Order: sequence, then structure tokens, then C-alpha cells
Amino acid sequence: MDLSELFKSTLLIGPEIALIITGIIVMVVDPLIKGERKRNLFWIALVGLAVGFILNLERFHNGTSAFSGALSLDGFAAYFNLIFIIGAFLATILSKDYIESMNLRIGEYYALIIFSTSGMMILSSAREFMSLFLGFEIMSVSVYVLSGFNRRSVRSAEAGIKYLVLGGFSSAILLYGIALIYGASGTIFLDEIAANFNASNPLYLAGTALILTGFIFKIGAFPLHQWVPDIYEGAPVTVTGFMSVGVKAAAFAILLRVLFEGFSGIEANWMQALWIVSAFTMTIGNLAAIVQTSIKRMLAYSSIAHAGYALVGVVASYGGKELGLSSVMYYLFAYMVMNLGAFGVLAYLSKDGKECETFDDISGIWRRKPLTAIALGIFMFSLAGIPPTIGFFAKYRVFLSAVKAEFFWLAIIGILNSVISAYYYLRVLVYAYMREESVVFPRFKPTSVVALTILTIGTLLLGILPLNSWDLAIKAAGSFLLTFGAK
Amino acid sequence: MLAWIIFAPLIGALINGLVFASGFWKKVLHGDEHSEKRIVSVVGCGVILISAAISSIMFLKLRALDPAERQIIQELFVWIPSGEFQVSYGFLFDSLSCVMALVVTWVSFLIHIYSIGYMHEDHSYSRYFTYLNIFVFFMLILVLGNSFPLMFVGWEGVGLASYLLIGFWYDDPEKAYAGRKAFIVNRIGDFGFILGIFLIFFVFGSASYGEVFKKALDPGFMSNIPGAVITVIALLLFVGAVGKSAQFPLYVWLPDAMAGPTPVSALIHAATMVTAGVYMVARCNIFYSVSPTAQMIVVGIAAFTAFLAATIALTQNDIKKVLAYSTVSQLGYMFMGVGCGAYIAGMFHLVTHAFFKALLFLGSGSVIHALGGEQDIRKMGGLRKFLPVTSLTFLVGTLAISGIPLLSGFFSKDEILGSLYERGFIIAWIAGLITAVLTAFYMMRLYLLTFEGEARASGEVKQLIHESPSSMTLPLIILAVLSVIGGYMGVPEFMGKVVGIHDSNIFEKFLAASILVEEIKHLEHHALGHWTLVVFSIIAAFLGIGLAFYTYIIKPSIPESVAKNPGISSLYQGSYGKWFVDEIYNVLFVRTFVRLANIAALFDMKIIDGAVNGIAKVIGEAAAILRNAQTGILRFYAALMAIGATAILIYIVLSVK
Repeated sequence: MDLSELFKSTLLIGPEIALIITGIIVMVVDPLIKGERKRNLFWIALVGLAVGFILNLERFHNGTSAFSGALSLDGFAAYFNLIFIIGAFLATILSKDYIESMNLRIGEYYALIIFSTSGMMILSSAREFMSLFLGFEIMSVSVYVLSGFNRRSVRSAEAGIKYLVLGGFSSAILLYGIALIYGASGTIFLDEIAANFNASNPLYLAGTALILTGFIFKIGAFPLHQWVPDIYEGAPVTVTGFMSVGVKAAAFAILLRVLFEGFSGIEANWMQALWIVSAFTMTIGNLAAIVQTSIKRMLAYSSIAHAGYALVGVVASYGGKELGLSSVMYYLFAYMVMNLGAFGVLAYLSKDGKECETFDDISGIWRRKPLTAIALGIFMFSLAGIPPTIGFFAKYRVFLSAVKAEFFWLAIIGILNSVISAYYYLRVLVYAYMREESVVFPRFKPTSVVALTILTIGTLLLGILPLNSWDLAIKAAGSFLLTFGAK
Repeated sequence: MLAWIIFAPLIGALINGLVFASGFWKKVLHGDEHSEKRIVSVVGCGVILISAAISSIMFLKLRALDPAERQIIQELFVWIPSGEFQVSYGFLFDSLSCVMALVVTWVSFLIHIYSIGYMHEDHSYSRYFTYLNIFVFFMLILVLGNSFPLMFVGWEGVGLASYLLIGFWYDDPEKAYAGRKAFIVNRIGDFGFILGIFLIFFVFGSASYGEVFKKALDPGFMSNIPGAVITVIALLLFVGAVGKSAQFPLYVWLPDAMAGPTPVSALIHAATMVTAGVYMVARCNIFYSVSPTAQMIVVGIAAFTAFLAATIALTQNDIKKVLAYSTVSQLGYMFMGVGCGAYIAGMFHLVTHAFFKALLFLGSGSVIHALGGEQDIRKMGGLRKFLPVTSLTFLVGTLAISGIPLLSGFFSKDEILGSLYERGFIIAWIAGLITAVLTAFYMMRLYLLTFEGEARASGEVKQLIHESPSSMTLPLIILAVLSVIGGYMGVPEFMGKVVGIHDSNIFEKFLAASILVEEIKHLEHHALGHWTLVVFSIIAAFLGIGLAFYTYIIKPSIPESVAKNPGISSLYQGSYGKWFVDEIYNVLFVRTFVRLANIAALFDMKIIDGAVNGIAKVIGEAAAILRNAQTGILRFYAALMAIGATAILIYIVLSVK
């Protein structure tokens, strides 16, 4: 690769660069200003994310690749980038009030969110293992730090350490899988791996299995889901919200790309494995969520269950089906909107260094803060998949794609699980609407209200009128299938 | 621009609902009630005026188009994109929906204005206008939507608005019950209606008017479809119309719906919503035209309903009940028209009826308002002196509905009766004529008992009687004028020729573009000519009015002696008791249903709950096991991860042979 191509490629990754520069600016400016003025870092972060968002839109029209094919800047990546950036943007807005009420350090927090987002974006575009691992670690390390960001809280610190150790373990598994594949094929590019793939060579199979394991850890699916509840519960609630939507979506993006582009040679095999993983993930996530007494922990288990629903769509994409692929992508978008909303309400109700996390913390909220209660209700309905919310349409499409691809049993398991999930989501509403209040709720916080309003309207509006959000997912899925010429 | 006809009332409903009815204005902004009422009135009436104005402009635009291409379509977005089933959110403005939109918006506007005066004292003033705007919004979706699902949205939406407004004074359990009754009875009809839509989609592979009707007109396509299927579609849709437009056997909700405020009865339960079924049949004219069976059933039910309701109206003493049964009866006329294939005649009667029935209801509202809530005509009488404007306009409405020549009802009713005769529905024609006599009789009776003769109100009430404010009388006057001249847009050609008008029956010519099938050819040989038929109608009208005069003015002792006459008294009791249809339904359906519900409840408690609780217990235990696995110890998690990774590894390696 000569210098001029390097230069051209660098220009092409504008959105990523915009975020990285913003992150650096935030880090550099942070120690230079003092006290109240540090709050202005918030605006820098928002502007940076907005610039990244706008630059990213270009990719929907002109898909291209950069760095000799190491990064594929296609509509598929652009769609996932949209999820990451919107997620990060709204999480940042929600964090502003939260950081103040929990008295956290401002500068690093925003920088880490932005760095992590840039890692996700590299991850969603990666078509070879070096870039993949680079993105994977930029994202993960930032999130490890964010999990333990509230140093005064033992649980947050514990979550940070746990995530670091277990995440390191999973990265090692992933890296080992990459090494095996490289050893067998002599290349790290996905298309070349696919061309050389030899199912009778155990190195390929073992490598595939280990790489898959690494991704399964990151999406928080069975059988590597144990870390999710502890870390989601311990981390600051806005961080939990951000990583439950961003990290999960990024892991799904790379899972789809590696599986369909690199390992389509043994598609039938990993598809079966994912079938089992998906069925167990949904069931375990939902069953465990029922008995939780903390809403935050319940939402952690619910996030495991939702990873399972999204995996139904991955299984249904078997053979490179556009419907299945687009249903996963749309599901992750929908999950971003509704789950960020749910965690956002918890963040909104946190005050004076104490998080809102148990059922008692929200009981009777309908009487004091009816609008917040309505927003909470809409998010819970959406998570449970009840119309007219975006959650309903997303789930409907995932199950529809499973039925169309003739995975009837998986669809039935998914629907039964949805029924179970209604129990614990609606329990939140029982507390919110029918119980007496037992705590004093915080006062009105204008900044968070903006984000919550956007999320509530989004959840409801896209549930009534899906508009073009669905077409965008179909187009993005189509562009992905084009890049490697799948059937 | 088309979409704004529909969205203007929605905006009004949102403003009135969110700012005023919610209490935001009073509690948060600390606004006073007087200004609240003023703003709500302006917003509520203003948005309807905007709708009406845009409809009128669109009407002019439509007229400027070439008759063959007279339709304006606006597609907003794809609403339900689901595989082959695509529903777009789009609106169709052709001559048929244009007529409906004009009637709905302008009549609504007048009734909104009237409501300002009528509801002035009410504490829930803002809530009232919110509901009224919501109603207009859904009604416009119903008539302007360009697909069956969208029509269904409007169909259900007006049902909701109707329910909310019937039970508007929900403190009174009887009124709340009337709202529920309307809602539940309508569900039966709606069930048939949606089945019809499903069947349409199943047969035609689409649910938008354009595609469905194009295929239905294609002889190649239709030759593959058994005629019975189209008959079933037509009848299922008609089941919906029977519910919404209060035909036998589902008409029972409409008289009870009079529990709502009187302007609501005028708007929803007389002029607009209840005519939705007629519009629907006219819209789907192609299905009915190809199915003589469906036509026969529609005309049969309509004729029976018209006659039955008229016999009940003869003896009722509640001013609004008489008008309610009269509405049911008049809807029967409209269905006779559209049912026999004379879609334009049916639509014509719909329009004229909207004028004079809205007028009569608003007039009755004015009376009720003046008498402080009294609805019993036995306690009225002699009100002409006190309420000059109301009584005069009410008389105009009475004469119009009776079919007195040269008033609007005469032309439209006569066209329906003529069509029935010409198309060979002789029995329905005779039933229509008899009903015309009854109509003239009970309407004149209502007018005479209310406004003429001796004043029977008590002394205190008499002191308070006053003519209504101008916001109420002005709509009455406008509607009275419309009731007089409204018929002249549909003067039949054989009459036009006599007077020397070249371009008579513009209504028919305008609407013809929307009726996709050539109307069935008139019978070759009639025993009776046009003019003979007209004479029959005129005789019927004058006979009814004459009888009423004779009975209530010349010989006022007759009613009492009739009621006591042993031969007729059972008939009188039957009519007075509304033929006991409600009681029969109560025994046949309501009680049986309650009994079944009790059995189901028992089954539910013993068997379903048992199973559910059992499953819940199993799930709970499984969950407890999972929770115990979540120890929180790092090494334990790492070990579990290692096991998981190994399992995936083994599974994938072994699964490849």
C-alpha cells in the first residue's frame, strides 16, 4: 500500500476520525478548564457525535472500501454505525444529569463513550482480523473503564474488574481462534478465508468455534452470559444502557459479517449451534428475569433474552437471506431505542448519589410524575413486544423471518418466551401505577427529558408508522450481501 | 392539500384535548374558565371550517377535471408493509367521497357552532369539543381513505367517538350503559365487516380500492371467481353496515344512543356516522351490482327496517326517540336505494336527509334547551309562541322529511321509490309507500304535539321558556334553507323537461363517475309511468299529514280512544313497547351469554388457572435454580465460560463429518 492510497483511505474514514478527534479534544480540554465550565465538554461531545452521524450518512449512498479492503465502508456498516452513534448521542444526553447527580468525573466519561463508539464503528466495517481485533479492543477497553467509572461504589469497581478479567478471557479465546484460522489459511482477510475454507481441516473448525465463542461472549448469549447480570447491575446505569445497546449491536455486526462472509463454508453447522444458543439464551434470560427484585438486574437478564431474539434472526438469515438479516438489524435498532429508554428512566430517577434500581424506587411514580410513568410504560410495552410500539414490529419481523425460513420451532420458542417476558415487564408497571410511593422522586431534569421524549416518541411513532426505518434495514442488508456476492 | 381536510380536525382535537380538557390550561397555566371556553370554541369550530373550506376548494378542482378522470389521490406513506400485504396511507377524493366530505364538514361545522350555545353551561365543555373533533377526524378518514383497511380505521374510530359521546355524561349509569350498548352491538357488525375485508384481500390480493375494483371490473379475472364469493363479500360488508347504520336486527343501539347531548345525536346519529354504511355500499357498488342475491337481501332488510321503525315512531313520547326511530326508518330508505342498484338515489337521500334530520334534531335540542331538559312531548305543546324560529324551522324539516312536493325530501325519496318500482322490487316499493304515509303521520304528530295546541308545560317551566341564542338559531335557519333547496340538485330529467331546465339532475351526473357499473337497465314495460309514481308519493305524504291533522287537531279525542279500543290496543301497546325487541334480545342473547360466561368462568378458574399456576410454579423453580448458579464469584464464571467455549468447540467440530 503506497502513501497516496493510505491518504485516500484515511479521508474515507471521516466518521471514525471525527469521533477520535472529538475524544482527544475532550481529553485534552478537560484538565485545562475547571469547575462548572467542565460541563461544556458535554456540548463538544454532542457536536462530535453529530458530525460523525452526518459523515456516516454518505456511506448509505456510496459504499466503498478502504485500506486495501481491510475496512468495508458499506451500507451495512453505515446502518450499524447509525445505531452506535444515535445510541451514544442519546446516552450522552442522559448522562449529563446523571453524572451531576452521582458526582462523577466529567471529561473522561464523555471521551470514553466516544472512543468506544469509534471502536464499534471500526468493528462493524472490519473485513480482516487485525482491524476486527483493533476495533474490538478499542470498544471493549473503553467500556471496561466505564463500567468501573463510579469509583466510590464498590459494586461499580467490582463490575469494572470482573468485566476486564472475563472480557480479557474472551478476547484471548477470540484471538486464539483467529490464530488457528491464520495458521490454516495463511490469510486474515475474510474473503480469502472463505475461498480457502476446507471443512475437513480441523484447524478451520476449531478456529470458527473459538471465534464464535468470542462473539457469543460479547453479545451476552448462552453459554457465556454469566457476566451480564453482575456487570450490568454494577456499572453506572447510563453506561449499562449504552453498552447494552452499543456493544451488543457491534458484536452482532461483526458476528454477521464474519459468519456470512468468512465461514459460509460450514454454514449449516454454526447455524445449528446458533439455533441451540438462541433457544437457550431466550429461555434462560427470561426465566431468570422473573425472579429478580432489582429492575436494573431484571433489565440485564432481559438484555440476555433480547440477544436471543436477535439470534433468531441470525439463524433465519441462513443462506444469506435478506429478510433475516434485515430483521436482525432492525431488531437491534429497535432495541437501542426502547432499552436506552428504559435505562434512561432509571437514570432520570437516580438522585443524590443513589441509583434508582429496585422496584420500590419506582413504585407510585404515576402519582408524582405521570409523564415519566407513561414513558416507562411505553418502554416496557415495547420491550415486551406489545403493539403499537417499535418492539412489536421488530419482534414480529424476527419471528416472521424465522417462519419464512422454516425455523418453526425456534419461532414458537421465541413466542412462548415473549409471553413469559410480559410477566416481568408488566410487573414494573404494577409497581409504577398501582402501588403507593415509598421514596421521594428527584426534581425535573430538563436535559434528560429531551432524550427521554425523543426515545418515547420514537418507540411509539415507529410502532404505529414504521416509515422508512424498515426499508433502510433492507437496503443495508442488501448492500452487505452484495459485497461478497452471496446467493 | 387533501390530507389537511383530515388532519385539521385532528389538530383541533389535540389542542383542545391536551391543553384544555387535560386541565393543563387551568392547573398549570392558571387560565380562567371563560377564556378556556372561548379558545376551545374558536379552535374547535375553526379547524372544521378549515376542513370544510378545503373540501370546497377540492370540489371545485375536481369539477374542473375531465369527467373521465375525476379523482384526486394523495398517498402519504406505506402504512403496513408486510410481505404481499401492502397498505398505504392514502386518500382518494372522487365524486363520491367529495359529496360525503362536503356533507360531513359543512354539517359538522354548523353543529359545532350550534354546540357553542347548547353546551355553554357544561363543565366538560373542552372534553366535548375534543371528542367532536376526534369524531370528524375519523369520519373523514372513513370517507376519504383509499383502501378498505383505512376505511376500517375510520369505521372503528367513529365508533369510538360515538361511544365516548353517547356516554358523555357518564355520571348517569343509564347513559354510560347506552354507550356500552352501542359499542357492543356495533362490534357484531364490525366483526362481519372485517371478515369481508379479509375475504376481499384473499380473493383480490389487495385491499386498496383502485386495485380491487380494477380486478373486479376485469371479466377475465372475475370468470375465475365463483359468483357466490362476491355475494358473501357483499353480505359480510353489509353486516358491518347493518351495525353501523342501525338496520334490523342491530338497530337497537341507536334509540338508546339518544342519551348523548342532542347536537351529537344530530351529527353522529343522524347526519353522518350512521350513513357510513350507505356510503360503503355505494363505494362497493360493483360487488352489489353483480350479485342479485345480495341486492335482494339488502333491499329486504332495508324495507323491513324502514317499516318497523316507522311503526314504532308512531307512538313514542320522547321527542328524541321519535327522531331516532325516524332516522332508522330513513336509513332503510337509503339502503333500499343503494340495495336495488340506484346508488345515486341512495346517496341523494343521504345528503338531503343529512340536512333535514340534522335540522330536526337541532330543533329538538333547541326545545329541550328551552324547557330545561324536558324531552317528553306530552309536557310540551303550544311552543310556537315562545320559540318562533325553532318552530318554523322544525316545520320546514317536518314537511321536507314527509316528502311534500318541492322540498328536498320529496325529490330524494321519490327517486328511491321510483327506482324500486322500475327495477322490479314491487314489494319493497309498496312497503316504502306505506312507510311514507307513516313517516308523514308521525312527524306531523311530533310537530303538532310539540308546537301547536295548548301549552302543557308546568307554570314554572313556562316562565323560563326562551328562544335559543343566535349561535343555535343560525344553524337552524341555514339547515332549513338547505332542506328546502337541497333537492334541486337532483331534479329528475322528466321533471326538468317540464319546467324547461336543460341541465337537470346535476347530482347524478356528478356522481356517475364513481359508480363503476352501468346501472341495471330499467325494466322495459312499466304498468305505471313516471308521473303516476310521483302522484303516488304525493298522495302518501298528504295522506299522512292529513291523518295527523285530523287526529291531533280536529279530533283530539281519537288517540285516547284508539289506545283503549280492545282491537287496536294490543297493536298500540306493541308499538309503544317497541315490539319488545330489546326484551327478546335480552332473553335470547344477553341472558344466554351471561350463562355461557359463567360456565366459561368456572372452566377458567378450575382448569386454565390450575394449568397456569402449575406452569408458573415450574418456571419459578427453574428460575430459582438459575439464580443459584449466579454466585458472583469470578473464578466460577471463568470456569463456566471455559465449559461453554469447550461445548461450542466440540459441537462444531463434531457436527462436521
